[in-house]
Amino acid sequence: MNLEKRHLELIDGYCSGSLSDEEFAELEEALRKDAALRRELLESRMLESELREYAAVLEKQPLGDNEDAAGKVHTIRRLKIEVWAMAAAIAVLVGGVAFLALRPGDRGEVAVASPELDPGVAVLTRAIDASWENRSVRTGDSMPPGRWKLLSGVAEFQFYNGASVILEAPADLEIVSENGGVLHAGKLRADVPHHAHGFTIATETVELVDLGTSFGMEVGSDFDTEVHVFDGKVELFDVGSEKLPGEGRELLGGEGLLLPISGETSPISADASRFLDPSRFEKGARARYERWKSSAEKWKSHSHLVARYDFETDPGPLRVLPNRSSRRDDGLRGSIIGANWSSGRWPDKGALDFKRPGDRVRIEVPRAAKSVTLIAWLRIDGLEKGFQSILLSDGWDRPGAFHWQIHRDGYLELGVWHGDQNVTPNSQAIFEMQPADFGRWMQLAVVYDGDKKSVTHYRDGEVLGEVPLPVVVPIAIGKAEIGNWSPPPQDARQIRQFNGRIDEMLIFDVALNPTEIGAAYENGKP
Amino acid sequence: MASPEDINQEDFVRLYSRHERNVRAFVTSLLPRWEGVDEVMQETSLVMWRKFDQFDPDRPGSNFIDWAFMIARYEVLRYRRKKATSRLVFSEDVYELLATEAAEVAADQPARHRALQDCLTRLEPAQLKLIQPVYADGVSIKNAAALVGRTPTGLYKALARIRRNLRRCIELTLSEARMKGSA
Repeated sequence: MNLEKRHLELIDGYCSGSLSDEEFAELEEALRKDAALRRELLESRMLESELREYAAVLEKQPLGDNEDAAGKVHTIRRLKIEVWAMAAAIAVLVGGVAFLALRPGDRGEVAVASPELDPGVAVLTRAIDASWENRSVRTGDSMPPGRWKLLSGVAEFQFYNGASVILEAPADLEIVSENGGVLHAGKLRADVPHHAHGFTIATETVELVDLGTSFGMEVGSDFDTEVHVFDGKVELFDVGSEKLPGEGRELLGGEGLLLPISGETSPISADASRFLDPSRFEKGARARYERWKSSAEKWKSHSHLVARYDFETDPGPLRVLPNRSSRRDDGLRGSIIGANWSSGRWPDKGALDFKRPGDRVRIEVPRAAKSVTLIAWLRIDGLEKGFQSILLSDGWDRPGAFHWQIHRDGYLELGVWHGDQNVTPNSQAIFEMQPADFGRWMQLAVVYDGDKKSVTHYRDGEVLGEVPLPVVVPIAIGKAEIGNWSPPPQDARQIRQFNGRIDEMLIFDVALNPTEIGAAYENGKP
Repeated sequence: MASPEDINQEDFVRLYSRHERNVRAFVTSLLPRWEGVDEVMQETSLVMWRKFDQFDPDRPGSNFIDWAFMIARYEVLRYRRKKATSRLVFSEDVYELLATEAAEVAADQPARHRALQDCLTRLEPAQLKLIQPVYADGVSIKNAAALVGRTPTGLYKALARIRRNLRRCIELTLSEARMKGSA
């Protein structure tokens, strides 16, 4: 075995828990390539296991006693714990509960990452202007273990164990597991409910184990750590030591500690005002809601705006969806059937919730147009039906009928009835829904351009696809429904209702360009 | 008269106690710290117990220890995702490599265990004295260093030497045994 001295040192460091991040990365890279080194590591770890058992035996019996007898004592002590657990399992079985269901991955191979598995250990719950180094993540996305460097903004995420963390840029947090991580730089605030006791944040100088509380931590440029306990209790341990409950240094609400990389630790008093609290996000949401309101007002002067539904709850009749464009046609005022009022992109904003087959908003758009643009802000809660309507003209039997819908197989479709049997009426673009996209607000837009002879689909201000039109007809939306469809009278009523919420819809009788759609997205994004 | 369930229980306890050391070695080799070893062992033994009726010793190529390693491997992975607090956690590709190879190394753990018992008796008494305080439950290296009157760095170095001696001694003992066995 010809192993480099350097690599052997790294293995020693690994076993004693003294590696720096750079050294650890170096060891990992070496292990990836070198089978002999992997074997060395495994044998070293197994030796550790043996030595630990040996030490436990000596603890019970002074040196010189019969080792094998002592070994048995230890094995029995350990077995007791395991047998006790087993007895609990037996009690469950005798109680009549059958074998617990198989978890996915138990059958045969070890579970490794695959598209059906959630690699996350935390979820990004709220963010304000957050940008991350080498990562693109949106609220609602799950966060797998790894380095998370927040370059700007503020982010709030929840570990799956329940602990909630607010990170302020610039910060560098390494998420290790559902149970915590390592703060390499910057500031965080954590709120830890009962279920997440034991939540741990480590830094270069300390490991903090939470015992149900809220606390703040800051790692400065010189790697000093400040710990501020706002409420409850935490326990602090030396880096790399075994964290035995009750044996660390306890800090209570109001107390704090400065832990320099070298030198003595000193007490400080906890200062909550230096850390952001969750109300920051509520303020941020209100500010963005106001920004949207003032930008939405500007649409009024757009000469091609046919209808604007802002879905804001109105002091008027609850079953009416007012049109806020300058056009006065009565048909543009929507009738709400079924659908319940709910909250939209921001907590104070209104939305309609479409859930049952009867839920719909009826409108009538007069006059045909050569080109049209529709922009909708919506939140898809499920895609179980073949088609889900965003906006569909009644029936499917007259020129210019307009069917804008989502198919569960992953595409957006604009169908326009043109009467030519030999040419498809449908223009489609691929539309992928990731698991975390359900329940997330998004902007969808479609442009039917009679001059350019094309249909363009958009999602969140980005072009999904542009489809050429072999046949062009004037668009006549006419009698139509938002979130549902009324088929021709002779047909059976297929269920096509939208499953989710809609909180804004704009109809133009002109083709908007990508810049205009992008601007509408920027002004409206939650 | 013993019911079929009783026989099943006896089989399990017999097999489990015979191979417990191997499984523990396997689990320890895959975790960076002591933290978690006991918990993973407990979960592993529970899952094994629950699923023991699915273990079929008569199927060709199936033996208890491979089955146990498979379950332990999954439990370690689960622990890593749920509870780990150490930042020294290998990426999953490296973990997969290690887990596969750990099964081979841990399979001859009983022989290693015997060799180690022998090798420990050959350590110098001063070295032997260092093992107990350092490897005892829940002692940090700082405290252990204070206990034996050395600096932490000095203690690290001494331990590295002890480990290397022991490793070399185990390998020698094992290869001698193999030569005798094949003679």
